[in-house]
Amino acid sequence: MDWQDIFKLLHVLTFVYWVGADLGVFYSARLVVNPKYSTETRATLLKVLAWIDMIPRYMLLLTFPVGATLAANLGYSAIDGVWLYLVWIAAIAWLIMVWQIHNREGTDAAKRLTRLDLMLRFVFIAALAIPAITSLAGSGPYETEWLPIKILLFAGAVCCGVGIRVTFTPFGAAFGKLMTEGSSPEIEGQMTRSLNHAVPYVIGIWVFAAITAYMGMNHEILFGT
Amino acid sequence: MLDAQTLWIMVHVVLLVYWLGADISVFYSSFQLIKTENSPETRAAIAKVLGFVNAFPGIASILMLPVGLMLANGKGLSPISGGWLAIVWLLAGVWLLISVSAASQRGTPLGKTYSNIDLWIRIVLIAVLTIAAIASLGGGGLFATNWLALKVLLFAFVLVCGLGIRFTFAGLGPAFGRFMAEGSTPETEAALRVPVIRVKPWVLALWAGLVAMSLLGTAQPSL
Repeated sequence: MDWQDIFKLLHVLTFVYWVGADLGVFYSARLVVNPKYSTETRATLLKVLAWIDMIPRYMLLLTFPVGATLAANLGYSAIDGVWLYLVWIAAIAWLIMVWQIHNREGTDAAKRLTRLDLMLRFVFIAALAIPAITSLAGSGPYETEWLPIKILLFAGAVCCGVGIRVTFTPFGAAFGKLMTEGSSPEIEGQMTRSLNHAVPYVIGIWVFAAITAYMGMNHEILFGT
Repeated sequence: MLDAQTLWIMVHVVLLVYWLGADISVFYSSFQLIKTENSPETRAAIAKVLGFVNAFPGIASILMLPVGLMLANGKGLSPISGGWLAIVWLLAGVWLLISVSAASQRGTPLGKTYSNIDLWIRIVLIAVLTIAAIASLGGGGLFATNWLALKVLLFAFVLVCGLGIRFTFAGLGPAFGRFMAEGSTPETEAALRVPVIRVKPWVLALWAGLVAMSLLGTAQPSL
């Protein structure tokens, strides 16, 4: 047993807590939009949902540096040495930022950081997709066929996450109105529509995550490397 | 290209997702149940979340063993194959039915019967797995490698933790019923708090067992 095994375990656990915790988020969201509950109950449910939802968010940020470490140790990734340290520092800094956004919800600082976070996600998607595509074309930085495909699929999952962010924006506004004005068919409709709009992106994340996990577990059998 | 073994590995990990990964939601929402600032209605809604999510670890944990035995057999590490594996699947299917029925009929005499059968299945399984694992570790058992035997032993440990959770949580349902009927009083709050607090070490031990099993499964060390 060596460090590589520990990182493999961490890689599996990031997948486990990413997709597994999502289940609680998915179900409680359905209760939040149920107009039978009092606004107080719905606000608490949303708080519970938001707490659980942090786990998948952290995991999405951690799974990449863990995977990059695994790939570097296998000799399949040129992101090694100092570059790998930088990836780790960036991921941890981002994770702290995401934690602070949750912690300071409602403040101006959180709003600014949320905008920055969204921009960073576009940068992240490009930083994942472009090297993956150049690697598939044969000019690196990743070796093997499966690794760049996996990274592309992961970029797909990050895209779906952005999709959730965008489709869920009207929900937040409607929920704020619910808290101040109380329930109305218009507000309820806006919340339910927004939630339903996000569902395909949630399922998209699960599908992308499942395929990447499948490839990660079986690349030796499937690709011979 | 689609080797069956690759799919079983995936199923094995997905079961962990819906066991360990879903459990964190159960754990967190159980603490919301005892928060005195949450109204009875709010707590009932949280109990609903808890009940829904908690069904997943229950099902995943039952399917884990037959899936694991499929994998072990595929790797040539377990002699349980062919007809024997079919029997394992059949038994797991029956167990799953009993366990799901125990949950869906909870509170009725029939539900109690299902729950008792489920309890006995678990006790027998813990004994069988422990004996099989220790015999294998001693060199005279079913499983060819020590890591697998240790994993089987840890599975028995995890089942014991599950029983610990079950007995600690047995009082939660009635306590919650009383809380909903009588409202928040020092007595009803205390009755709710006790199981939620006492279950903690069992849950943490169960998680530790699952993580240790995952490490053994991914590293497959020569012990």
